[in-house]
Amino acid sequence: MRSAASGAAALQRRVFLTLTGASLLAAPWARGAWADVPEMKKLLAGRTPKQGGITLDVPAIAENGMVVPLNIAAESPMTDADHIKTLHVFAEGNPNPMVASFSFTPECGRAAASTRMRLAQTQNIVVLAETSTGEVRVANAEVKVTIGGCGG
Amino acid sequence: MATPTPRIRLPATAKAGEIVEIKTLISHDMESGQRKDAEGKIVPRKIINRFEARFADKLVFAADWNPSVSANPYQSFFMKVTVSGEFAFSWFDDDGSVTGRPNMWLRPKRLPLPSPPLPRSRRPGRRT
Repeated sequence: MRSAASGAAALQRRVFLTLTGASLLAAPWARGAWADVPEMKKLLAGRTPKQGGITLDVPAIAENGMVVPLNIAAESPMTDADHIKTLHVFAEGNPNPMVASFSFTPECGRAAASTRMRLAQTQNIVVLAETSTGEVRVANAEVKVTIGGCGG
Repeated sequence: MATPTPRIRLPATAKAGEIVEIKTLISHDMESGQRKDAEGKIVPRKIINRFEARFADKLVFAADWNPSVSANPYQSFFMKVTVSGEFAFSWFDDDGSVTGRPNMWLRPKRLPLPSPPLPRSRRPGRRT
């Protein structure tokens, strides 16, 4: 339990640093490179996502791009009126940037999921969260990949 | 390839209202459609494109997977258990085959919950 708690703290720090870093480097999110991913544009349909409320846990350095663990959790009361409907994961640098979409129901109790993904190269991972109230949230993290996970 | 073999880990029992984690894994190549064989021909895509989890016949969680999901896909998610019931899981392949279906879902498990406390009048050691 202790390690989980400290892990979460470290994670929040990482997310915080990423976010601050991104905002300091200018370019508002709406004009970020990720907006060029067609699948993401289609999902957003002109909406501007809000930062925050998502914990994206990916390794900073992945030695093997074939298997990169991905843990996502979104803050939500998960009630019938207010819950996370979907979490979409994108890997911008992959031949097919859409990685996975997770659909939740209030019965889940917690909007969290983990899986493993392939990453072709060092790149930015973006998560979009859609809530039942129509809000869209975004989080991102960079993963450095030593050996790519596509082709071969 | 061999028939996909799913593995599921979930607690056998849970307290009412507890949020439990369910972990699943299925053996599958998840051929991305990007890879080339020895002759330089592209190996056609063949992946599991969807995972569904049902509890008491109601869809509680689903994952749509794309070729970027690793081979032998792992998926974990959470579920708030309020009543006993059977979990059912299914994996949908590109070729139309479904593991865990048809004719009943794969390895349904019961989640027995502690029985509710006896009414005050029937509790042992209490005399009126």
